Amino acid sequence: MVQPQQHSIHEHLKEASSFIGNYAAILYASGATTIRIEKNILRMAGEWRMHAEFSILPTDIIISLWSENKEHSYSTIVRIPEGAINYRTVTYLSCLSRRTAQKHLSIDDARCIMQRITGFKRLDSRAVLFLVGAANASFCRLFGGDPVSMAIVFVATVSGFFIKQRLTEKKWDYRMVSLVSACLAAILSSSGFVFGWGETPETALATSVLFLVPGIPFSNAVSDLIHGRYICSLSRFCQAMMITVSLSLGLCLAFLILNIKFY
Amino acid sequence: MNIFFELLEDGIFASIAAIGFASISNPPRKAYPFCAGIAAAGHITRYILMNFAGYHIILSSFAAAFVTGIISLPAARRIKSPAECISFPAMLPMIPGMYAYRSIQSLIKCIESTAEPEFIHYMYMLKLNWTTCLLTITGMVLGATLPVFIFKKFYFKQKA
Amino acid sequence: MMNILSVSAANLSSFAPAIVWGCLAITVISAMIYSVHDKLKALNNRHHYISWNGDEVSVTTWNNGHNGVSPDGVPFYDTSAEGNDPSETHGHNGTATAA
Repeated sequence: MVQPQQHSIHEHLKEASSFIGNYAAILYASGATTIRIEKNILRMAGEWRMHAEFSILPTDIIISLWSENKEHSYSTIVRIPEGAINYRTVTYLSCLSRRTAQKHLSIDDARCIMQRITGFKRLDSRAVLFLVGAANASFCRLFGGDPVSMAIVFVATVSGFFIKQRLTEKKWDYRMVSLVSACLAAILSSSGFVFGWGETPETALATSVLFLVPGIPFSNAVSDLIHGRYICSLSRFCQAMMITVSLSLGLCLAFLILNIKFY
Repeated sequence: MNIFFELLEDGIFASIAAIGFASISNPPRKAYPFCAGIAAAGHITRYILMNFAGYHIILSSFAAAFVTGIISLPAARRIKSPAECISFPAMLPMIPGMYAYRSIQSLIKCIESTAEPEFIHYMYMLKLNWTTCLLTITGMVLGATLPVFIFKKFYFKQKA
Repeated sequence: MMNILSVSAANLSSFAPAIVWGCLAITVISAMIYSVHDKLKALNNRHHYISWNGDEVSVTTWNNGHNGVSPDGVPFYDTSAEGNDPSETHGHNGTATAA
């Protein structure tokens, strides 16, 4: 027969395990590095007087929490949800981990705060569209493009990113989304060649698809590699390569349609 | 004086690029000015090393990322966020995207080629672009992470 | 600085201007439809100009209304009307077969 005190320890472990599993899964889906997730988990488990053993895999997180005297344990496997990179969530959840340790928050308090954090809206999609267009046009300038090429790249980027946003809303496969966006952006940016606009049409064409390059997944993959988390590193690297290959294929398709030769 | 304006122009456009690409990852609002400033500093460093000192892109990117990493430590402490939430978006203008997609295009051209010299040329392009891309990104992330190891005490004593 | 993509547009396709303008037109039209998407949806809900709901089953009948598919999607067979024609209901061995 389970003693009442053991029952409450078990309930406490179960609650904490469920919360920490969800916390870690949301952090991974939001683009945090594996080392960041591990530090945050250990900090919170330490605050609630538990020992955490865990394994962060590309699709699931396995958490095993032990009581302080190592007599009881509870394990959870949580599936990592799909989600876009969100550094705001990563920042606030990391803050939550520090506050839990410093202000001795309970599991319920932490759960409430986490629910509030995950409910925050992202930056308005129209603002992102404009900023990405400006960013890619600046890229064109950094590579030596003239103002006309910059304008062409701005229009091509805004169009490509707009289509990417809409197709992502329609739940298209992310590789197809990259391919179609890259193809559209490349076709529009080749107007320097087609209509003879600007002095640097090659720069416009070369920089038009750079908004699709997955910089953060590549960086996270290398960060995981440096810290010895090889499986996660390989998984993130493969995902980044999928996107890169898709955008290259989109560019090649645009070249094929317009009969532009690459050498 | 010309050099000063060149550097200023490079810094301004790098900061605009950093803000734009960072907005895709939705960083905290307070991080945007820091991302912009740090990206400008990093990109100017890389520009000087590549164009005036003649260093290769890999070494220049590593040095630029190290500068980015050093500046992002106090910035992250100021806005109470992890350092990588500022340094990774700030490094986005330096990510060698062109090398990445050129290597895939070279691969496609390799398969399409009919003669050996053509194949060898595209294989060379594939290996050159791919190695440069991979080593540049690795160098950049290593450069951004090194300050965390060096200044561990300073980094991990952040207040909530 | 990095090398720019080396391309040759010497043999550009003759349809290239049309392709570029076409892509731009598609994007602009998509943007316009997206901006009024909610209003269009409300208008369509009221007047049903376009119906693409795959769940709706259109009621069809055959055999003078004796057989058909109900609005729920369940087929029905009016066997009392089929008993009048022996050649339809009897197979080679003289056994009754389903219509």
